[in-house]
Amino acid sequence: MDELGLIKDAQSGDLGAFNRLVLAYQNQAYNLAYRMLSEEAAAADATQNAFLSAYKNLRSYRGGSFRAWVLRMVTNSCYDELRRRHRHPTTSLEPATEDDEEIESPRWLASDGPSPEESVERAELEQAIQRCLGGLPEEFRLIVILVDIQGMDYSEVSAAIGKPLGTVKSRLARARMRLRGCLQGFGELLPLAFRLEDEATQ
Amino acid sequence: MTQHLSDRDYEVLCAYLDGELPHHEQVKLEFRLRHQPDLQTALDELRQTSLLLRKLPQKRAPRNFTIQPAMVRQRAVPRAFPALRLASVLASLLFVIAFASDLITSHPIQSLSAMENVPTSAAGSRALQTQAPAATEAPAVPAAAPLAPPTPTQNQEAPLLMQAPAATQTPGGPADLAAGSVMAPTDTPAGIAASPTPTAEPTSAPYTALGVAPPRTKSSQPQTPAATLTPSEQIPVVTGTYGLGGGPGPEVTGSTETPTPEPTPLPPTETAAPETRQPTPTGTVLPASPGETAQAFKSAAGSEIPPATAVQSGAGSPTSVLPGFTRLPTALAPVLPAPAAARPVLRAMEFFFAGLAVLTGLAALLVRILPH
Repeated sequence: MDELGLIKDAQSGDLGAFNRLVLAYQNQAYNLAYRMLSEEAAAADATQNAFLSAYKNLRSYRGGSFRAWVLRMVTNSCYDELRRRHRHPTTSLEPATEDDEEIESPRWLASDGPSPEESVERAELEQAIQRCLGGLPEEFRLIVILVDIQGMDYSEVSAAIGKPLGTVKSRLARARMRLRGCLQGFGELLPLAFRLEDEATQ
Repeated sequence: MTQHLSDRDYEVLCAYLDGELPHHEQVKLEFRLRHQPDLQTALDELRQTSLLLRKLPQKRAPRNFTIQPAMVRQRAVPRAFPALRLASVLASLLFVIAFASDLITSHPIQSLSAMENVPTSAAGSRALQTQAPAATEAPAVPAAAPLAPPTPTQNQEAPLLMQAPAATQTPGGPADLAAGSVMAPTDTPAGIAASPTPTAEPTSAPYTALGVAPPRTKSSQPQTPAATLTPSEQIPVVTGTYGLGGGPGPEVTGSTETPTPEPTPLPPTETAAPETRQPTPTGTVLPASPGETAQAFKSAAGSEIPPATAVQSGAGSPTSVLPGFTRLPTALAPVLPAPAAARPVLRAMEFFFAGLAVLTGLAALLVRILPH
């Protein structure tokens, strides 16, 4: 895919070229939105709004990592959604357990890949990680998602969030420290190596 | 545990894990890792945490997020903010214009009234000493003041006179007959007592009788303090005309059909004021019944001059009252900068635009504050 050519065509108004770029980055964009918002519907809306905003502001792209530029649009869209949530807090309609924790939808049971036990453990681990991610401050969460989940390097993250490289490093370190402390609360869900090392350190 | 490690250590460890550490720092860190077990433990913890995150399954997009032409053509929800912002700016501008116009129109009207009361004829305008209705108690000006040529200087000095010290309710002497007093023509035109005295020589008798020197004017015209004012109760009054005079001739010009309640500005010293006299505070006289033309003055000008009624003011200064004019209380003669008919309109415009500016400003603020 000639990304630069598609970008130029899209900047000249070729919607088809831009949609090819959308198809190339929509999974990353949706993953970032989902990890930031922890909600599929909201993540889909944020992703759609981000691509729409990207198309409207495509002329502001001045080169560099187009992925970082797109993910920056997604980040802004997620921030808009998070601000809206702060202004209008909602109460989930999901049933809650005795511990006042939401019972997630059992859709993962339909997975036909691994065994049910593995699926349960994987889903619970993912849920635990997502919960820890959600407990991070938004700026820390974004850095961790971009580096550890999206696999971006520091300079790309710096371009995506518009912050200096030193800020990226410090926020990433703090975010990982906090995640480490949070995940230790889900010891039984963690992989064996993680638990053994954790127990050894204790 | 790794409690004693600093944030800087964690940053270096994270950068080392991600391959973002420079080579020389990497060498140093590896040396430390071999000698500091806590640092190694912290590195392992961070690595496991990062691995957990990297193992998270990638979510597939539930649908394609391609942009449809309809979405691009779909216009954003029209927001009223730009329009309101423009409206607020316009309203503010209009308010300023309205306010400024009110201020501007007030002074020119005063000047216009002054011009109307200044004879536009030759310098030796006749002695008719009628004044425009004034709102303030004008200082007494010698009777010769109106004798000065109606030059623009006179008109320019008018506001200065209006700013002169307010007079008390002291009947003016011969001075305020011609200058400071504001006369109100009453219904009887025959009563105009400000008829000129066509004498070739300056008549200084009234001044000498009053113990003051006759006024001297720059125009060196023979001055006649012809206008003598008497209370309207005693003398018939003139209907609705007023002009300035003082010259020997009976000509009366510059009269107005519609008297405006304007103070009559009179040049205090430069053009007509006698050097030996200081402005004497006088009362305010308003036309009793405006509406007639200068014909009344002309007809009255030919009549005999009513005897000047010298009245000793409370301060001792002799004053006279032009027959046919009545004095109004000072309290009833405020400064009226604009015609009475225009004032409510201007006031309404002010309030309208001010209210519009406030409302639009509030609307713009609400649009900003309220969520989409």
